[in-house]
Amino acid sequence: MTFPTIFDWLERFDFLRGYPAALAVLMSAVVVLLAWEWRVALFALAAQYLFVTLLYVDVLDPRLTVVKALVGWFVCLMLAITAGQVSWGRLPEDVLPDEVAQVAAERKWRLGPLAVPAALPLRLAAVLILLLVVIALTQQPDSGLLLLGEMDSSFRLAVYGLMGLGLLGLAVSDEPFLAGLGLLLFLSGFELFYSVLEQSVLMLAVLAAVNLLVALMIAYLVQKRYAIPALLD
Amino acid sequence: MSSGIFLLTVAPLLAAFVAWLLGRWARLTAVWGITFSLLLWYFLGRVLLAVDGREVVAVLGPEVVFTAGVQALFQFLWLVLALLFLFTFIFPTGSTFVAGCLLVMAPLALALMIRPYLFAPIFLLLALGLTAVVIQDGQAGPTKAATRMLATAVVGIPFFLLAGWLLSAQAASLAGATSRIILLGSLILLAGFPFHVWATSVIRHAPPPVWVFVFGIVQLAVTAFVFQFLAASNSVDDQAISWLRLSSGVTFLVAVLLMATAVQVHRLIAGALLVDMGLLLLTVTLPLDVGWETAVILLVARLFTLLLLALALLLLKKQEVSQLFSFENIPPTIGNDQGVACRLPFTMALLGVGIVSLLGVPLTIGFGSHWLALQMIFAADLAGVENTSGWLAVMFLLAVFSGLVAFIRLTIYYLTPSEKSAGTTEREHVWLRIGVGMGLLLATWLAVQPQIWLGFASDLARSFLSSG
Repeated sequence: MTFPTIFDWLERFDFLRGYPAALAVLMSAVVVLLAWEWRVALFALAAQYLFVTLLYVDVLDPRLTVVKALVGWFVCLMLAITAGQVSWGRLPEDVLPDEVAQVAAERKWRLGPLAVPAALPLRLAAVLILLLVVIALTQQPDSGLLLLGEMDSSFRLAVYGLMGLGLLGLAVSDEPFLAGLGLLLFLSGFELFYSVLEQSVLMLAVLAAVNLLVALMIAYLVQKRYAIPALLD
Repeated sequence: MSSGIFLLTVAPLLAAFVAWLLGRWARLTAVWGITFSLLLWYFLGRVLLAVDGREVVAVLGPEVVFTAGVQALFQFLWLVLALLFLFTFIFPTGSTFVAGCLLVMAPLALALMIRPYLFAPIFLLLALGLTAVVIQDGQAGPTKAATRMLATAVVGIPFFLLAGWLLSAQAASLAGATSRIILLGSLILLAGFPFHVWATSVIRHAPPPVWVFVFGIVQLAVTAFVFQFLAASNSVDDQAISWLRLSSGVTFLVAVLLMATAVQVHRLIAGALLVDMGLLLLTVTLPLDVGWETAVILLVARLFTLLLLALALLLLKKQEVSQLFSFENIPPTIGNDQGVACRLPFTMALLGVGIVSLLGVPLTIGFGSHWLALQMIFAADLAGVENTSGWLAVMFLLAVFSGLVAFIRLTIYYLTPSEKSAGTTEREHVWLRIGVGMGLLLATWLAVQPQIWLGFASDLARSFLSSG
């Protein structure tokens, strides 16, 4: 029995290349932005990295695109470990709610078994408006980014969508974990665009290092944000 | 490896590691930081360059180029860093401050030395990301400021990555686009509206030594980076210049609103800093040589002013007036602060001089730099580059006036004796009064004799840009 090669895997996922991959990237990015449960957001980010890899195949050597996917999943792993260490943004088990009474809890609405953040409708509206803008931009190939007009519309959709949703994620959240996910979405979109311009291995390695470093910074800030002294501050 | 490149890239990393190991002992770490900074300043000055004025080392393809301009700039920065570490010796800060500052200096130097420009933004991003760690300073409070700083850096750097690629591709037909991209990136990195939010967060949440490092030392290096890219692009995009000028004007307006509603001194300082940052952004729209020289002058004046402010606030904190000047997320209790200027006149005078200098009021250090910047902006308009200097000057003056009103309002409050706070704080020690008095005299002397530091700043600017 032989282990499937990169090319075998790409052949299996061939049906997803092009528009399906771009739409999947957008959908996963939307989930990252709207999910209030960190696990769900991280899983969506990991899925986003998978689908964006399928778009990279059109501009980079397939063996190099795997590096992009691996880096992305490594980033998700780092953030997952960090999130686990800070109890996924919840109070640690041994800290009682009375002890942190001065910390204002996020307002939530009950929808059956789910407790939905009160800010969710506003976020959803912002995401929908942004998606409309992105779709409108995609229809105009000569608007905006350098050389992107020459690329396939699915590619443009993914680039604009990721960068736009990433910026929106930064704008709507000050909390380092969720803002950090927005940052990673923005970086992912920019890298996808930049891969059209620059395909050298050195730059690929450098951008991979940048991703890991940004993830490290986010992890550090999350650790500090959810340290007990901050909770009791 | 050449000695200059080693001193600027490898040595700070080793020093940062030692500082991290010593992190438990704040004063020892500060002594290490001071010693290393002074040694680096000294040895950097003794580096002899080749006949062509540069040292070049190739690393995996790209080259690291050490020039006389980089040498002069970083000598100055390391000297200022030594002074800043002296503050941390007297007033210990968080455990990661010294190590973090040392660590940031290495990628900052690389960002200015590496060629081709394609790779320089990566190192600047690394430096700014590590600056977020410095802002955090190992404390729980300033996370919001650090997150915003990191976000701004990650959003701004791609513009320079793109510009670096365009410069490397040497596409003459895209010269205009390159200039536009660089100018838009500079709008983000230099905290023009609407990317100014992280700056006000840093003032609100981070301790004063962090302000000096972020808005003085790091900003000078970032500004040098921006002007280097502009020099390499060798083109001007009028549309982007208009956007930058608009952003500066709105930044002044934001400063007006901030200071008009200031009931805490942090808000007033944040507003005054925004005024200065708005002016700095305008220097990017000027012709290259003039703009860079003006920017350096503004930043040197800002550095000195921030050092004054940091000293004043740290002195106040040491004299246990921390309820007033709370650096953590503890809301200050205004009731205990009334009349503090009667009990601590010299310290509050130092704070006052710092604030008005940041605003650029006449007879302060800041006035010389602000006046020069306005003159250059008007001169550029007369030369036909733009015709917006009129309304920009109005917005600037409005911001300064708003700051002055806020300053006077706070001064009256702090000068009004209060029965509640009487006797709650000891009076200033006589040596402190002598020291602060001498500092105030020095500040006044530099303000009335601006040619002393203006000449130094101009020489620094010229040597950096001319050496390439």
